Amino acid sequence: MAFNSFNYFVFFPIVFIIFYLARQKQRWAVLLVASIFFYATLKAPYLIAALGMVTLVAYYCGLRLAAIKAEGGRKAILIISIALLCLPLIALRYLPYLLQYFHILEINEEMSGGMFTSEGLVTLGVSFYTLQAISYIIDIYLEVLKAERHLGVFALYMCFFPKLVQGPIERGGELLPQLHQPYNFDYQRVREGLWQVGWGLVKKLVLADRIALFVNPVYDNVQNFYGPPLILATYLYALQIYFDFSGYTDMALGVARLFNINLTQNFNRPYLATSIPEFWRRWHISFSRWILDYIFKPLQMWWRNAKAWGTAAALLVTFLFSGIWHGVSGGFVVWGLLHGIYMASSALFSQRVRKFLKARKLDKSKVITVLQVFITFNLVCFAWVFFRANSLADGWYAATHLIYGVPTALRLLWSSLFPSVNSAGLLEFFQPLMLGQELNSVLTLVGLLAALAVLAILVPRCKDKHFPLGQPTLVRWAIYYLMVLVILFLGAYGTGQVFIYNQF
Amino acid sequence: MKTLVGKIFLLIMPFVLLIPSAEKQLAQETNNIIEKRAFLEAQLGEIEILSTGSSHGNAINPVFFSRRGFTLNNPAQDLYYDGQLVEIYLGRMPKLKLVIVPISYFAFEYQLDRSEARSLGAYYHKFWGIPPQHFDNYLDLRYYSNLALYGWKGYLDSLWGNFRDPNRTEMDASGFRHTGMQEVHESIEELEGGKYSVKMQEAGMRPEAITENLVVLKRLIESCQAKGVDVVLLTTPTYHTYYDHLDKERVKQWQELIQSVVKEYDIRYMNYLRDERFSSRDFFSRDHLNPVGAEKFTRILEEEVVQPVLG
Repeated sequence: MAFNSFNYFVFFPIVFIIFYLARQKQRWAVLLVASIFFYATLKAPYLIAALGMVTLVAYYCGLRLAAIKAEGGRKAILIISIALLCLPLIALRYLPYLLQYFHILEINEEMSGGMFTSEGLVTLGVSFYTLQAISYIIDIYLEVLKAERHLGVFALYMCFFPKLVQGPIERGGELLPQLHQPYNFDYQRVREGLWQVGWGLVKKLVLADRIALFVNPVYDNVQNFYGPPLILATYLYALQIYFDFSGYTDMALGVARLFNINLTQNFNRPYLATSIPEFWRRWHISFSRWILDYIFKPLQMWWRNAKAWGTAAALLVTFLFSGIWHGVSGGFVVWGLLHGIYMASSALFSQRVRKFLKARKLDKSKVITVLQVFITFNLVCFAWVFFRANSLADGWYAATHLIYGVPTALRLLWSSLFPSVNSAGLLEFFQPLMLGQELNSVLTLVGLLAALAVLAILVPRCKDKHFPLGQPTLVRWAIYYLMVLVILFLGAYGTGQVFIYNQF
Repeated sequence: MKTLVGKIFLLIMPFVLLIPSAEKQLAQETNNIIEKRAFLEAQLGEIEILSTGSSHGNAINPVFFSRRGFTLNNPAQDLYYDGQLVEIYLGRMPKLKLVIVPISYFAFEYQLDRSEARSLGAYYHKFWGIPPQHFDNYLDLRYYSNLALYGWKGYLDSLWGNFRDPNRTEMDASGFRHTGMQEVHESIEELEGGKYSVKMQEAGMRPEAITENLVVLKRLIESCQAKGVDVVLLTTPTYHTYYDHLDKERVKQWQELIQSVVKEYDIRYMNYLRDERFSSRDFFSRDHLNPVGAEKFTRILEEEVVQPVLG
């Protein structure tokens, strides 16, 4: 069941009430049963089997790793366990695609017992909990984490329902101790959690799904667009994917808080990053930490003799992995490669750029900072073109036609404003930018984004760190009701938009 | 905990109290299903030709038949709802002589209740009394609540007098829908888009639906034949940037299924999928005729189907 569905808003309160009323010793079991039930609602029994396999392999291999002292034996278990943990992911996500692509085997739905559809297998969550299990095993090998002995608690660590389908990817050292803590009802925490859930719903239903109505008609027929409408759709997609994924994350973190569990913050204003490395410290944080710790650092260590070039190569490979993790299609691979190139370039040249700016006393300049944010945002958006495009051909077309027609459009805008305002010209300029939507839809979206921009400026200046929870009662309740009204009346319902990261 | 429950109650209570008013307000609003039903029931005694189908069925404009016709097609409609609608009215149309059932590429593998358009099933349930094909759809709140169907925004729009069902298009008394289909889209020439269109349809196709769909189609034919009503199956015209991308194995299976039904019930099947009499000017999208194309197609059907079958 989706986080933004009515069923979920019946499900998690029921789970919370049962959890609250249960005895302390039974609470892990309540959450575990609820999590398995949650996963079972996907109606894909093979997913439960995959989760079961990954859980049991990680659990038993973790215990063996902790028990064995000989380095040779530990290494062998490490390699075998990682290979076994990757099996379900490869079998479910990559193998069917590769077999079909190379025409080795034609798999149809009947033959696969309903597992394989023409659009591939349902693989919700597999990518996330596989990485989580691998991090658990490696942390035990590196002796930074003790193996969990309680199978039930470990299973809960793997499949805790708020983070099961789209992460965050939780480290054992961060989540497991929390699962052992006794639960005490904390009213403040529950308030914060529910507020976060509400805010996540606003991001998903009101913003992301509404923006999708503008983006989809362009990117689903991308070869009919070029220039300003395509640029606008790309910028909007950047906002869409941020609101969608961070909205989901807020809902996950908010629900987890009800159970006194703090999951990892996954986003920290990523589009305010002044460089690509900083972007990756702010975007999908749990994933970027994972690839940094478990792929980049070992590679960088192996290639340390090559110094900066070794680091650059390690980054290229790391982000190629990132692209493939998101999907096998050409678009994701190109997206990953692009970020790899960005990161590698940063590793090779950023120090020189810093020295250059410092020498000219520009390193603390606000103008330079704004320029850096602007450039970083545009580099990220350029990569999003391939991420969003329906095919590599579409992505290539979009990338090569972004600025096509821009000079003409700018000349039209200029001539419509000077020497006097020409409304026909202005209409001709702005009409394509409506992306086929009605005026009131455009105005609604512009209004929402403007309101968000105002909030983004004002809220950080507010002394209330848990805004609006620290506000006077009347203000607080006015904001609560406003939030409910916004969700009910401005939510883009019936658009059929699932969470974007559900597909990974 | 009591404070929490009390405050949540306080927060949602005003909205809960509004629900009855919202349901009553929205019950007054109309939509395509209500409209189509009204048009149909106003002329039950006159209709001689009935056609069904999904949005592809809008390729038939009954106004251009020589006899009174009506199209029961609706976007995303599947064979189950085709059959249910025909069965409801079969006994109430004394002059009915011919039922035309469009069978598109996806028809045997598609079920509305299992598709992304499953919410449309709520319209059939609420406004035509047709139960969903699959039991689990009864868990969908939209089947029972106008508020769930149209949303709070719909309620607000209704209060302001601006309500418009998002699925509604203009239609005439023959059930033919006009709005949004007047123009030729240049994009239909574009090959990549055609590949994508087919891929999107195939994403909603499920081979396990074939058995159920064959059952409902056969039941439709048997019911009609029991009342002495002829049935003709047909495939509506499409543009080459669509049919060039159809999966050959799937096409072969689809045609074999049709032929098996045709032979079993001794009925006609007309395949206009690749008919060269239609140019890009006749299409709104790669697999949908525009009103100009629909007129042309209906006149062809008059000559090639209606006259030979009905005389």
